[in-house]
Amino acid sequence: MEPSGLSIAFSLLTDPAVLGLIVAGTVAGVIIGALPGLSSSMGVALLLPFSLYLDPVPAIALLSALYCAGTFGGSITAVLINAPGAPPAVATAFDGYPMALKGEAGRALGIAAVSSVSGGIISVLTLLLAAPLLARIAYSFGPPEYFALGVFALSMLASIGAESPLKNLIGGCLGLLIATVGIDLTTGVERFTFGVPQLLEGVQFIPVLIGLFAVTELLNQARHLGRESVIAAMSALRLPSREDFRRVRSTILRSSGIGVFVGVLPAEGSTMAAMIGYNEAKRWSKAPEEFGKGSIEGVAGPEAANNAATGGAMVPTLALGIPGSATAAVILGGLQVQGLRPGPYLFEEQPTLLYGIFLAMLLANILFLFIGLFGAKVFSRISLVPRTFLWPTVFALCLVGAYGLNQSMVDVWIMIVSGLVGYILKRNGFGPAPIIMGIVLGGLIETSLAQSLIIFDQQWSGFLRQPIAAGLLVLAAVSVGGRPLRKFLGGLLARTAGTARRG
Amino acid sequence: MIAKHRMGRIGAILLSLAAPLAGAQSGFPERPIDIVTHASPGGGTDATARAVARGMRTALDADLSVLPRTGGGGVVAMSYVNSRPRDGHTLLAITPTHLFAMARGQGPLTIDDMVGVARAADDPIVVMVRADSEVASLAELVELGRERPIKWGTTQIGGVDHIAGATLADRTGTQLSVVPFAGGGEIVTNLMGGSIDAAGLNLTEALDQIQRGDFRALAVMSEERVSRIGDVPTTVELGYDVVFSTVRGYLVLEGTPEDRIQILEQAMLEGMSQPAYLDYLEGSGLEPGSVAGREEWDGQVRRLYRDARNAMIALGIIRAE
Amino acid sequence: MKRPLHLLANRDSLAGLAVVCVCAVAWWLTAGFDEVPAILSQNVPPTFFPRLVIGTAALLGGLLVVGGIRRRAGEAAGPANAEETSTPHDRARQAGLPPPVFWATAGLIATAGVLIPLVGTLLTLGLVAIALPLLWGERRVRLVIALALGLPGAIYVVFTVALGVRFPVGLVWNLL
Repeated sequence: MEPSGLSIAFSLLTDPAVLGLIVAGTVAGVIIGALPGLSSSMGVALLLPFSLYLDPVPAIALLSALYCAGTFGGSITAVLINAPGAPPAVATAFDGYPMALKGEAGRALGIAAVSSVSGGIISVLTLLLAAPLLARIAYSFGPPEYFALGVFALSMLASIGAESPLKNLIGGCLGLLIATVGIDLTTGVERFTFGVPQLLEGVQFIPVLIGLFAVTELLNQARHLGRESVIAAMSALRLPSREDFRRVRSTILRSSGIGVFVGVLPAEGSTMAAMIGYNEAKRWSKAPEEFGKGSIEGVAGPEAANNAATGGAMVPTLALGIPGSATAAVILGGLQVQGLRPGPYLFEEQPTLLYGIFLAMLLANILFLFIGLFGAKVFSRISLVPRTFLWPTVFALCLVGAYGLNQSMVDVWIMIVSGLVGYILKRNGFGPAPIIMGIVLGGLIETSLAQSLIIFDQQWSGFLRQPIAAGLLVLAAVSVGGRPLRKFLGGLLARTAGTARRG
Repeated sequence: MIAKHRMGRIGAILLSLAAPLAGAQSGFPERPIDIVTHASPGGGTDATARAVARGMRTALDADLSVLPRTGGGGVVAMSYVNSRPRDGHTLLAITPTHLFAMARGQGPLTIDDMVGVARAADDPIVVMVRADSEVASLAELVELGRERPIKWGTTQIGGVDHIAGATLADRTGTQLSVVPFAGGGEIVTNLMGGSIDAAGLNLTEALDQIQRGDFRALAVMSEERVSRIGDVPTTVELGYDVVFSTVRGYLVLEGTPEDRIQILEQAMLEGMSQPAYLDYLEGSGLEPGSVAGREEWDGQVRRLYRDARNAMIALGIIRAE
Repeated sequence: MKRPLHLLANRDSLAGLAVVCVCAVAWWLTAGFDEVPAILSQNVPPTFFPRLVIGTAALLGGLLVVGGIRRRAGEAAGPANAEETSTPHDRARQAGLPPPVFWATAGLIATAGVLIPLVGTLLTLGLVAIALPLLWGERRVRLVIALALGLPGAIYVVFTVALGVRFPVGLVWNLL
């Protein structure tokens, strides 16, 4: 809009104190994001009280920088130890960890860093130019559209990983069921709480995530202790080549677009964006058979998408006052305490603040390109630490991370049980990612379905009269029903699974 | 130079949060004080609590933190507070939602356990529709509701805005389809997008939309008009005795030493008289009269509880004993 | 399909049966939810969504059973087909029972959860940092001790001092 706002914001941010804060926020974000159990939303929540002592622009700049960097940080541990720091990095582990096992940790981290930064910068630039316009998209998304979008994202489970699509979908259902634990939003009734008061708030996904990924991997390592480590020492530190970057260029662009769009919708966008980004990367790839075994496109796809969604999530937060993600919710809280009222008019009334936030995010993105690329050499050494020291450390961080989120022992037990059960499930072909997706999307899907049914007077056919919702549901049915039709049991399975998805 | 200074200050704040800076003379507070909320970060209750905590921190020269214990319409927060010693180090932030949960017999506490400390905000509920709706007045909304159920957006089933709408519907013989959302912001978007017909939103949640003419405010559910939207009639004026607002205030539990309650009340009122808090109120569209001391607030909590119970009995949600 | 029980004895069908059983238990649990007045439920009762999900999962579990039987029947007809459809997990599971160190590790993980409220977080972390490396065959005792001291120390500095997370101290210390 007015260039004056932009230039004021620019001069505010070039204040050395503010620059220092952004650097500190970025570094802290990468570290917090990388530690399993410490998520960027927790980091932002812990920093919120300190930010109150700052002026609005530096305060929000600090929190946004931490937010951007935290999303990237999550991918580091996803690649190195198969323990995503946060749900958006789950899809990164699909190909990142196999790469690390092949001794290509540095290459995977390098690709992740460049994809993240590209996605982040593309999204921030889009926001700078079109934030108020993008915010309008949110108005055309009512409950039926969100339900359809959630189902569409879940339908991606049918085609991810090397597992059977049926087992992935069952895993997704398990996640959805776990998400119903606690007090029902619509009726206030307790469900599956077994008399444990801490379960009233529901099962937090962070302890489940840590258990399913990190603890399961720990058990897997214990089982295969006898086997020699395959990591070839020196190549682990090698960064990606120019040829690698050329190969993932179009994946990055596509995923950034997906990320910005999905991120703008006020929902748990980054995880959904990463999953869709991964799936589309595979669909358009020239070598789809490499996916799940260490494809660089499989790392670039989700990483570009989840970082683009991070920027996108700031749009509904700022323009509508609806947090686009858990972390954005905390940032929103920070804005309100500063006496600012996010909403459609913030763009006209507070352009300086907005540009300040966007520029801080841009700066954070550029910063963690350097941190990420130089760091890739440092971090990838982690994969060279002897297992007998690495995994005890990981487990200690798991315990602390599960506890630290809500300072609750119940979460520690949820983490431990998820790890043990998750191992059995994994041995039987039920991978952890679908369960996490189900938990992350469960609340959205259930709530929007209940809302839709009330709005439609209990008529399921109401979904078909909403063009966006109907379109997404058809796409979901195709992605679930299409592949088994060709590959497995023929018509029978496709028809039944298709109907099951539609409900 | 400035950079160093600021970074040093952040370091100092970090350390001060780890170790309490208790007032040396009185012995209270001897530990950091927790303000327990039922709202996740980002909502009005959270923002208010943080603004109050900021003022109190200076007034009390002690450390305070806002502790979210979300879920179950305040039941989780109430259970947590009940598990803490009654020594004044734990404050419970309450809203009418807690009182409704209590009236339904949920949670471990009853109204007799509550001792009011101070009120921080009084945020009336405003009935509104989209500006291009054919409904131009509350009477017309009532008329529409007699033809077909009004799709009414609320933040929580059994929460204050739901009961407010249901009570209005009950008095006027209209039908309501209640669509629950996770927060005020979502209701705003869905009212804007046309998924719902009407909503009873807090003034702070939709002030911008009303002032800019995106939403049409039909009535304020209060006895007196609100200065920021002075041309909007009240429900009482229009002949409906339906008065609801989201009041946010702080409580300790019965059994807390009297002198500590006084220290807390003093600190809270002092903190809320500082410019930073008044700016927060002004920025949110609330009246400075939102702030009230122990006597007024304690009486109001009991009155609200009685009203909540009666409303729920009238709606058949609970049975009168 | 002359011997249906024999055909059922494959990993997918058994997993599918397990899914169906879990669904039955979960459905039974939903029957225990509180009833709510109609004005609160808005015709979407609290059992609605869980039962929808449970039903879908049971259906998918049933398909898994059928798929396993079909594949088994196909194997009998021509084994080449089975090779093509088996996933990496089909092959991995032929490894046999896990070694003792696996069970010990699983036990250690559960023990840590019991220890935290008893002896405190930092001491538990220290014990884990000693027990797990030794269990896994690490013999460089000095390095193990360094880890046992350094790990809780570093976690205390980062989490408690810098981020203000207060860990459980442990009941034992209260007794002293």
